[in-house]
Amino acid sequence: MNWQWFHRLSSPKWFYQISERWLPWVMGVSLVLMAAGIYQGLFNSVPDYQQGESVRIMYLHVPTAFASMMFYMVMAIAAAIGYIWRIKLAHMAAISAAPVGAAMTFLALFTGAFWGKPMWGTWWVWDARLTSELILLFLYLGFISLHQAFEDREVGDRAAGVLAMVGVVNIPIIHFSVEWWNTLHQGATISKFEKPSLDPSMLIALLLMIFAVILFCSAIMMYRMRNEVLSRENNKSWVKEVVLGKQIGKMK
Amino acid sequence: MTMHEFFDMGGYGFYVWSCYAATAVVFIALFVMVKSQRSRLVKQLQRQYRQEKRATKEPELKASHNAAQV
Amino acid sequence: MKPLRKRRLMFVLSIVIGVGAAVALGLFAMKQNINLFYSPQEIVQGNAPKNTLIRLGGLVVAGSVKRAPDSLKVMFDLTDNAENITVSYEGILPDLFREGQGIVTMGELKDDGNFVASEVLAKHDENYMSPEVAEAIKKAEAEAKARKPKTYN
Repeated sequence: MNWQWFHRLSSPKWFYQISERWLPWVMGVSLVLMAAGIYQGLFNSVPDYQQGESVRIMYLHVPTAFASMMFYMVMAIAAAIGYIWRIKLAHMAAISAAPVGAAMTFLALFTGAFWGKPMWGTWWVWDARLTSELILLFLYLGFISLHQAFEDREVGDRAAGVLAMVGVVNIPIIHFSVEWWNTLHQGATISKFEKPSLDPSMLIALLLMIFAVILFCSAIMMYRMRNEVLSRENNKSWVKEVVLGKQIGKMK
Repeated sequence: MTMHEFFDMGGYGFYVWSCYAATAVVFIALFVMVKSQRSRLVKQLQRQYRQEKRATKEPELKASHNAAQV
Repeated sequence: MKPLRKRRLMFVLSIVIGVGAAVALGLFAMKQNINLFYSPQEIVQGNAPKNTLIRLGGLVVAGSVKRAPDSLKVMFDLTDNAENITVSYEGILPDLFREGQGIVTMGELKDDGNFVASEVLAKHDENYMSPEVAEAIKKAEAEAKARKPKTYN
């Protein structure tokens, strides 16, 4: 099998150059979708027959919760690729996904609490869904601090990578917790293969926000990866050119 | 829909707007943090490269400079 | 694939599968502890401890809610469509508390089989629709019900 393409994809320089061209588009599309999603969610969608206007928290809660799980998978898969093939760029992706995922997990818990208080009557309950999402936050924080604990960055990559891979077990637990156990949290609305049990105007707002949040998180992750590339490849001549070229540009 | 009705959110205004505010703060913070990380990194690398350049061009000068620092 | 990489791949797979199996066994063993609440059926069968703080979940039986005129005391029946448990509670009910609504209560099961709740939480379902649609569905269901006997006549 020809692995040429794989190695080209894993070149930090190639990533740095291609991301420079992609980033404005990713960020731009994300902001446009987000503006449309917020407009749809706040002005153009119906209130819920039971929850009234508080249902508008859903357009933040569901996308951030989805992103919190998705970016954990991105982080763990990147860590596994980096671990098996010793690819530096994959480890850079893993460490760049972690803060983004942690932020999304925090927001999912925060918006969940502020939705739970008026609807359920409590900020927090130790049911399987909420507890496993809290464990996800600790996994992210554990990954970040374990990575920082090592003097040698490459040892830290591998050690934290193993933690990320072990933590993958938590993802199906979060997803299926509402089916495996009885919880206060309700079941899934749109991940079912059936027709979504959601008003169409709500579905549009939700889908817009889900794509907007995923793209925004991807953009932040790419920015972080670019910093990581410059920092780790600082002895390469092309990095020198990029960094010093910036300085000349500024002086003009 | 009046302004007041909109901000009141059927009595759930506090909860709805807290969520939107928190999300906005976190999203902006993510962006600002990554940008400041970059400018700090670029400055640090520029300093590093300048020092390297000086060290290779004027090794004697650097040696005396280091001695002076000690 | 080079042998070294294969070995690392095997290591990664074995660690994920190993931890997954261990966690699955642990969760299976603790199934009842992870469940947030007991159902009325489990309580009637005597699976729930008495006079200690537990959670009970079920649907509020339509027409069973009795409110005291002079205080916040309220009594209602919870059902899982198999058994009913009478719950008494004093305090403010959440906005979603309605007849037919899913509820999780925390409190103590007394010796007489009644449940004295200190906290009532509302559960909501995964269906979201506008009030108009909900009204229309209700109407359609009522009409269907009313029509049914006629088709038999």
